[in-house]
Amino acid sequence: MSRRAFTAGLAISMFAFGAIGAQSAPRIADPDANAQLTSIVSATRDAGLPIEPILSKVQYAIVVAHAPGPRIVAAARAIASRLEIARDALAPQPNALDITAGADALGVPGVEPKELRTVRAASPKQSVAVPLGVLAQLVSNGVTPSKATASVIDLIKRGASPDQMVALGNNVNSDVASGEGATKALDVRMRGLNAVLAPGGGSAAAAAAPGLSSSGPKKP
Amino acid sequence: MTNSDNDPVLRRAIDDLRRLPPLDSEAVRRVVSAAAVARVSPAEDDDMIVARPRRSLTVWTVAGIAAAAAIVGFTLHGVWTSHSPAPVNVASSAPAATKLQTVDRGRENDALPVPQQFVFENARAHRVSIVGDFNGWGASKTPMVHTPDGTSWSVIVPVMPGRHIYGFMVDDSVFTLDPRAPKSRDVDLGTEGSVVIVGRP
Amino acid sequence: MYPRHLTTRFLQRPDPAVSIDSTTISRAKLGDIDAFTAIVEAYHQRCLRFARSMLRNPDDAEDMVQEAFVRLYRALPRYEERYRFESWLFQILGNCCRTANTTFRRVEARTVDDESVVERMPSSDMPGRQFDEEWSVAVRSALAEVPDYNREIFLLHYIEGFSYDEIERMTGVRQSALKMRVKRASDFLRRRLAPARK
Repeated sequence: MSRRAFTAGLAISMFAFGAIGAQSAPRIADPDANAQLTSIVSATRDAGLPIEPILSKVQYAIVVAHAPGPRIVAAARAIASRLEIARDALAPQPNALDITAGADALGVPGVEPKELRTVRAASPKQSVAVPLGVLAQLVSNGVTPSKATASVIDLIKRGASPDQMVALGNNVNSDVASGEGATKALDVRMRGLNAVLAPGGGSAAAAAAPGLSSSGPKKP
Repeated sequence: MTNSDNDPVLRRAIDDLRRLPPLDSEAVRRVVSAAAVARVSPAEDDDMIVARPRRSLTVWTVAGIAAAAAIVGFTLHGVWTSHSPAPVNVASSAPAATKLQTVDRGRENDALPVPQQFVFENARAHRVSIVGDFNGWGASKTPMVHTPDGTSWSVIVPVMPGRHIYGFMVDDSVFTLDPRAPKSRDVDLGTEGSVVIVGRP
Repeated sequence: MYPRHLTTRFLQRPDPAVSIDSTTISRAKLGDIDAFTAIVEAYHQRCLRFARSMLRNPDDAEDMVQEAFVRLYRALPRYEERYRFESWLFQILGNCCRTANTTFRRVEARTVDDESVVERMPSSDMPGRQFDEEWSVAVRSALAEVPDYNREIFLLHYIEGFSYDEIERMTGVRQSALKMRVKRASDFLRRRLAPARK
């Protein structure tokens, strides 16, 4: 266990010392916080969960947020909890990428484990990192979680490629940034995308109407 | 607690698991003997972290930090001696960014990093780096390259599929959001970052 | 928080009262070997019970318990009574077991040697209760299939009687995650053992 503490401490310190510049190497000055972070990282690793999201959050907290030790510890604990909930919601045996994406989505207010379970059920064999990312961003933009989930599920079932989903998410982003309402923007963009997707799934190219070219790669 | 905890099967299993083994005096004697002859040494494991939180930098953790400092010392030496950021080949990737991504557990991960271009307009900055959850927020890891006309900075970074938070570090000290990208507020820390969602080709 | 009957049934300390007062601990901190012996006598059975259920190789249980007590003895001079003594002891023991589990390599799926399991089973400490060997084997076999991280919290909570507050302090894991682990372990055991009960 002591070796594990060493490794965790080293990992945390590597991030802490991955400096923004030679002049000011950020560090966790609070020894209590450092010890608690070590414990959280060890426990997360012991549970078979990816620790990179925690380490990334710690570094973000130091470099960008300039957060005090206790706040960093609370953030790390929160992520560890979301990772575990995400793994449970994305069962069975989600890979680390999906767990990370699930935890990220759960960090958006309004996204609950049931949304993750629904997306997983619609795509049981493929990675759900991109659909969950789009879901998270739609909710972050102001779309209700149920509508965002329903839209993502619809895209999965219609065979939308990851790039098509990403394009939808980015387009809604732009529309919202331009002052459009999130729900309306999503409806408009979904109609546009549905025009090139099969009604019940299938490749976009096969379903393309005459005169319309498929956008993005075919269904994987 | 859920209804499952009223379950008679579970209760019976718990009752069974609670049965204590008989007290083994010989085993107790062996334990006490082993403890008595154990060398007394400075706390070298993390068992004391909870019991003694005020002095919680254990030897192992301190050693880890010291080792990290030594390693970073080598890394920073290279940065100090270079006068300008090495130009980044458009087709190249920043290996450090991918190392921080997922560790494969369980099912095999079939996703690969996707090259993603980031552009930041700023004619006055001396140095710009991209920092994000895909490179551990390390400003020294992914410096951006000045465009020929001097008005913008650009870099291509391999990023795993999914949603990512990032920003630009200007002159090693000013964290700046990407004006072209949507923003997201960190639920744990309250600060904002720029968002990119990367698809899978 | 819990229904009354569950609290009464599950969360009271299941074992006869173990009285280790602060005087004994203080004496042990000063190196009093008799005081330390009293501590070992008080907790050895519980520690062995936990280790046998926690370890992938239950034959290592005695060694792990010994290792935990040795660590505790060495760390005693620096112990501060900020947290309950037994939660600290079980934190150390949990650390030892986890380390042992990660280094223990299973050659193939664990097969339960019925004879050795029966040998290791404790005698009944509840007078009048019929000792069902077959059921005990089934319970321990099923428990062995629960993932380590779920099994540990299940044991700490339901068998050793620690509250979620205490387990959160011991492990650094948030209570919501702890409860989920206990639920998953409970659900698994219930599903696995229901046919065996018949």
